[in-house]
Amino acid sequence: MSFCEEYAASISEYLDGELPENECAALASHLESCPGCASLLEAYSSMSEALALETELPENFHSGTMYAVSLEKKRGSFLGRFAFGRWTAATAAAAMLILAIWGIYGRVYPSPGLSGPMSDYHLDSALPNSGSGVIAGADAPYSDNFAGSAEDAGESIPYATSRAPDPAPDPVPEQKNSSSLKSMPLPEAASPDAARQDAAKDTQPSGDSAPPPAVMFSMGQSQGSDAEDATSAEAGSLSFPSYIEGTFSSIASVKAPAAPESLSGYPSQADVEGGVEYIFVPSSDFQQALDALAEAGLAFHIYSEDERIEAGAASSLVIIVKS
Amino acid sequence: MDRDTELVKKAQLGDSDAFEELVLTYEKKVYGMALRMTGSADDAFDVAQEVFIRAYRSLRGFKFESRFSTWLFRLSSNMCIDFLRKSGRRSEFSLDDRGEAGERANEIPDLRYCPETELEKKELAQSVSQALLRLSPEHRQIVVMRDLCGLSYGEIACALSLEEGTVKSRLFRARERMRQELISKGNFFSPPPSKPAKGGERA
Repeated sequence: MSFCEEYAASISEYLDGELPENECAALASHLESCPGCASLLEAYSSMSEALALETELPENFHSGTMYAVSLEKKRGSFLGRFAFGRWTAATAAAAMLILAIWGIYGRVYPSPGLSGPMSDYHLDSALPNSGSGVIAGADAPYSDNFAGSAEDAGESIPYATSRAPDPAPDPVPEQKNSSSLKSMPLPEAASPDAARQDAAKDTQPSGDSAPPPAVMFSMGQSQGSDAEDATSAEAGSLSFPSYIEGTFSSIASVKAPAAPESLSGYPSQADVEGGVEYIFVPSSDFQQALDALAEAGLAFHIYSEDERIEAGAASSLVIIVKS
Repeated sequence: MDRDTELVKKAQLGDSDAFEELVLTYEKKVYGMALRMTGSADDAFDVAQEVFIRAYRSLRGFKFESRFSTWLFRLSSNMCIDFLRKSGRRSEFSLDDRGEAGERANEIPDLRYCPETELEKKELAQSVSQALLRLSPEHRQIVVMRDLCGLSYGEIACALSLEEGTVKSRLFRARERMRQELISKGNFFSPPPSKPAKGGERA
């Protein structure tokens, strides 16, 4: 069974209701007599219907977007008067719920200072990263000069935002995990207390073994989910030098030429060779620190699922990737 | 004044609730477009979010020369294309791929395949999504604008700065390409002849 080539293009238009009226009758009568062309219409139609199916929105998409927009407002780039809308309260409430749900699974870290516009962002970040252990590069491939349409000359978004749980899990999650933090040996059974003290004070490199790689960000390649794309799909990976010990209630990275001034008061450890600096921020100050980064127009990325992340840890880590 | 226009005007004056309502109205479509264009939930999340941030930034410059939805879809679509370009993920076909008509097989899907169950529908939807990802970004874009966003040819022409005739022919070629992808992956298969054979028959 075959269709008639001379009708094929018209069939596509007919499906869309775009065929000129004076041609419709002729095509309709042809379709009645030609099963091939009728089948072609059926094929186009089923493809069209399949594509029209609505996709499920990741559950923290809306709150994350509105939060990002509220940050945009804070930066004052547009509509300086833009008041915080109902989303602040609404998403904070929704985020509380999400927090509670995730808390059941023990995957979430507490959110210090759970109030104000920062909270929903923070909570969103607490959701497991869809990269499942992969640390997405602080330099997302589209973060700079992301040219949109003519109306919007490219200004880059100054922060990265958290991602939703992946509704369609990648077929090869193991691959993504292969070079994540999980591959790094962690000190055994360090108590959270010890960990935070270590993190804050005892941060000298051990120097006895080959230095483990510093934070490694592979740039450029984005995460893909095409099955055939999977091998090149890593967005980036990260591992810590051995002197970074313990657990953290939150980990964020920021790409900046130097540690921002707002973080200068905290203990830090620089890895000059790797071009990376680790800053240990008390968890209670973490939100404030993120806010300061956003205010300074710096892109940061929050890692939401990693073995080093432990609910209740007193310390949080901000990784400065020197750009 | 339609609802969108009213909301955009309010948002332009600083009404954050109005902007949020616009987001609520279009977020599924914008995310869906990004998902269809990038094929990755992660990328779609980021790109779609960026679309709204960019829309927020650019809203003041919106002059109501087109519908807001057309403007937003154009922005989304451009950002998706740009993302694909930057991430180096082009499909194997380019828009200027010659010989499309020449190699076009005339086989058509078997109507007996019409999915009956939810599972079958889901499977077909998945296959169609995969086939879509094998099109060039430009083909992908036009199919998504039509089938997912529901834009008319005129609106697509306006959004993509194309002639309407180009929209028509590009959309048709994209559908043909997608159909062939489905056939080659065995999602559609050629039925036995049900009428006297014509050229191009394969079954």
